[in-house]
Amino acid sequence: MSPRLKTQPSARRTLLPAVLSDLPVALAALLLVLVLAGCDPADKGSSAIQGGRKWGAQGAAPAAASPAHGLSSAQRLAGLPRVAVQGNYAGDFQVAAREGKIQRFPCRECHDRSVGKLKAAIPVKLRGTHREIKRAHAPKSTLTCLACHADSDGMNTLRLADGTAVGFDHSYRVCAQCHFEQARAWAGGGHGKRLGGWAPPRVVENCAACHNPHDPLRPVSTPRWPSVVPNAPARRAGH
Amino acid sequence: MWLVGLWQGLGRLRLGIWLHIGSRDEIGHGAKAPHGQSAEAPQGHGAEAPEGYSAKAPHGQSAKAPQGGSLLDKPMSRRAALGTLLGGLGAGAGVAVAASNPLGGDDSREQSALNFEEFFKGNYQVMTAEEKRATITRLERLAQLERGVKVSISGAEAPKGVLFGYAFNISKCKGYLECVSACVKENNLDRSTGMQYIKIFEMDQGSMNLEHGRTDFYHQVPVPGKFYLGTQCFHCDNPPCTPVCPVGATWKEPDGIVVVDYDWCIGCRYCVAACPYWARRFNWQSPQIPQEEFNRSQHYLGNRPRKKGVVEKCTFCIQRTRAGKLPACVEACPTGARVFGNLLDPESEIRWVLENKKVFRLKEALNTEPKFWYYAD
Repeated sequence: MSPRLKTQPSARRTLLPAVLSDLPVALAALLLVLVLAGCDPADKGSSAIQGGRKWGAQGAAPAAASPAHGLSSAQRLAGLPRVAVQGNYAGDFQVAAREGKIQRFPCRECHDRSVGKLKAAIPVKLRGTHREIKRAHAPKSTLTCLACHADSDGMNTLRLADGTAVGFDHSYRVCAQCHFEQARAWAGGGHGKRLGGWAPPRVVENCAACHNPHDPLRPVSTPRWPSVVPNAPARRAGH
Repeated sequence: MWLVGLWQGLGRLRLGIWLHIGSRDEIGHGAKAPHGQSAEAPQGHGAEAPEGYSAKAPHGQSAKAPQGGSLLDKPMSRRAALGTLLGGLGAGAGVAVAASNPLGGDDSREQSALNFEEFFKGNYQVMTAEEKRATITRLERLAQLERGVKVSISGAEAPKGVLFGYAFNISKCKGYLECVSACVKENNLDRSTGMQYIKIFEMDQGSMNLEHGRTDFYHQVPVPGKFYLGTQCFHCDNPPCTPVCPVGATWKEPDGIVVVDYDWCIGCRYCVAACPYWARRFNWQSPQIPQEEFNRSQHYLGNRPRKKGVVEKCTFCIQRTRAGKLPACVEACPTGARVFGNLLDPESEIRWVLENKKVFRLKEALNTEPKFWYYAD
């Protein structure tokens, strides 16, 4: 009598032997079902694109749960005027306000009429205001003053390309129109300067704190000498 | 000086020898031990004898003395008697000198007493909270006496739920060395030898070979065609420098900072040899810090003044970071090339950099797991 091989299917086919005989396929099907069940199509703010940081207008200042370490930068940030971030890169952080530092603000005190009419009213040889501003941001035909400065509301605000008025505290929205890569990194933390400490709340400097909007490569990349002599033995030639 | 070192070394391995003297059985043997030791002790150091030593007979004879009999009645050899007398005299003289310095004032006496107690304290890792408080009080008082300044030394423990991480943007660093300058001032580094924890490499663009980079540049920066890359202690998660310490003077704290107990370090420099990033520094000379630049906010494991013969290194400004502040280098950088934060906080800047930038570390193949990443714009 020939021994019955274990691999032969039994005469009475029930479900269990059928599944077991096709075990790899059955396991693959089970895995697929589990994976599909885990995916939630309603989860739009997923980390797939932005690595965990949720983008979108979130408005108000963060009210984060107190962290386990209990440390905070709030004391060091006391007295620093700051605003919540608006626009495309709004998130759980604030930006240091700059409007209070503008010397000749509000602009309305002089700009009570449109720039065209203002120029017409002032003789040519008296048009010295803002002459010290050196424009080195882009070719003059690409960016005129009015590209960023709104000729409305007394020029107290900046303007986005679609005409939206933006306060000077939120000038990052103007920069972010073209410099979106840097703005994304700035909002995330890989670009720019953090104020206070590493502990929350997170407050960062505005773009204009380091980049003069009219001459952006200054002062952050100004050539200068190092502030100390490094302590290293002089290298021999060829090494 | 070497005698002190020898003594310290012996003391680190086992201080129990003093506990065993009382149990010595042999007459001559028990008498010789203290006699020999006290002759080696450096003068005026108060000797190795703890308080009350001279009160107890310096050998095991008292344990075997007949009940009710005094030392003078016991039969003993001339050798034992001589040893007893001289040992007692030596120990007594040592204690007397320590306690009453006839040439110094009250301050010097207090200083000697404080130094005496500091000499015998244990490893910081095994101290109780009370002992830690006591040593910090002593160190603060010593700073007042020796330097004439009021310092505050923190013993802040690692904060919960925190693991510190660091990122460096090689596109932004321009070689200004503001970080180096801030670090020297913040951490009370020795000015006489120009001790610096941070090294900035001036590298040719297109090359990642640090052996061809220069750390000794001193000219106008940035130079076109070069990029700048900074190194310091990377506070590895798998540090090669901590297991090699023969006395356990350096270890990794729960918040990830690798620290050194400067009072336990014997200066063998095994850790200096073990570090693949050349992050550690040894004090070949006694550190000199100008009084007007002395940073008085200190931490026991951080920027309190070190002494000649011990190893030190970047501590991620432990005196600042355990209070929620940024390290001095991060705060000083004018281009924002340095990022610091809590790796365990998913919303932190360092986490964003690690998740969204192409980051690399140095010498990855060594599996040291440094907590210091580099990225570019």
